[in-house]
Amino acid sequence: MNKLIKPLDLLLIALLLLGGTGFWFYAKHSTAHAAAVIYIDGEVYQSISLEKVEEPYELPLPCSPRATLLVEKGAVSFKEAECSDKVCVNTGKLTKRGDTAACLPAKVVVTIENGEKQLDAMVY
Amino acid sequence: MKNKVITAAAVLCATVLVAIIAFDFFMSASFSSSFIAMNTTVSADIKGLKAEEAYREISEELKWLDSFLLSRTSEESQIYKLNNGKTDIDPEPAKLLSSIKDIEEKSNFSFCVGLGQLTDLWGIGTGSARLPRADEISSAIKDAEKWQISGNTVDLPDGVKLDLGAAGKGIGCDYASDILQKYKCKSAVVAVGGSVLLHSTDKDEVFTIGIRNPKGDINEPAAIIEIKACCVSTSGTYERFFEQDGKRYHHIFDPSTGYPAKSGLQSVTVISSSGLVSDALSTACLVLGFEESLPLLKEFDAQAVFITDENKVMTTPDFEGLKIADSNFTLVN
Repeated sequence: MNKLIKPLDLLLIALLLLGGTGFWFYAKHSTAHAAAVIYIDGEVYQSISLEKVEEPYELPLPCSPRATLLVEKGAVSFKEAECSDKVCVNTGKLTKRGDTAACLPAKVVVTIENGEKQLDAMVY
Repeated sequence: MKNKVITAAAVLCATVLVAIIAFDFFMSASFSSSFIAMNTTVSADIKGLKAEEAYREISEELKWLDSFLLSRTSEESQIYKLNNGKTDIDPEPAKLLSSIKDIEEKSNFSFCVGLGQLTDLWGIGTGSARLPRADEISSAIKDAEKWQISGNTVDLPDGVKLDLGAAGKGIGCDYASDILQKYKCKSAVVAVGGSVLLHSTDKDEVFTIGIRNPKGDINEPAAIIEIKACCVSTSGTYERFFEQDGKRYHHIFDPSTGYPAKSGLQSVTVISSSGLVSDALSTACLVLGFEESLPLLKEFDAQAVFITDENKVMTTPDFEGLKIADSNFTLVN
């Protein structure tokens, strides 16, 4: 047997690795907190962890026509927009997984991902 | 001897470790994102080793479908070309139009795609909506049912314009379904606006879908249904409308009158294995009303959930898996 690494050392290393991997696996697969994901023209612009927001703040978006989001603890919404129909602003607050608001003229989609899954989808 | 046991234990730990990593790799293979096409938000949540490739192809395909097949305004679109004098089209849209003509006939034209003139006339959703005169309306619906397709040739009577808006999102779901199968995706939820495709290779997988409260926000369900893989579409009188002189005019027209349908229903949600059928029949059923919808749904082997003007919820016979989610609504058997 190799004198440098004894079998016991090997076992200890293996157990540590196993423990580490098990912890990583658990952390990855436990329900992550709700995140507001902002897409502009199909690309992710920003992802905000809504649980971590302390004070509400406004987030102007680099889109045209212009739109500004209101980001709060646990919720995101369109505060104002320069588009003509204001469907985005009228959607109201997004709080749970799957909630979505979009400003089509500005090509902006805001959707809540992760968090507790309540519904697979809404039909409307 | 002791060394052998310890070494064996170490090897076992290493094997379990590799198994966890491999399991995680297969479990996590998934991709979620959203894009805009067909004048709405399309969001896809796909599980499978090729989830991202499937998503990219769905995104390209639906944008192509929009611009090159269904659009009434894009000059490269087959529908645009038909509405502007072309008579021969490619086999793919021809097949689609044949299926559509079949649904029109079976629904006794309560679903009709020849209503382009009528939708233009009312202008609902464009910002310049108005209440047309009775003579304008009769002129717009005249001959709407008479368009024909034979092989790859479409015959449009004068003045008739095709508008596939009432079926487009469902058609999008069918295209997405083919792509998910091509990439052998395990499971997926693809929402094309309010038409949703539920895909699974496990025929027993159950999905939970919320049916929008007609009087509430877009994210508030009146009822929740549990269903297996299929397509679901809703037509509602609350989606697009305008108000004039205290009256509300919604965008789902009764093709026989040219006026918004008055069937006592606020919304109809149709569940079918075909996206086109779910979308087309949700419109037809909203026009027909509850009683007259039942034989049509049976003919297409589809199920439906109806929400009446009095907030009563009804379903096709033997439909199970519905729960009321808002106390303002009552389930009626």
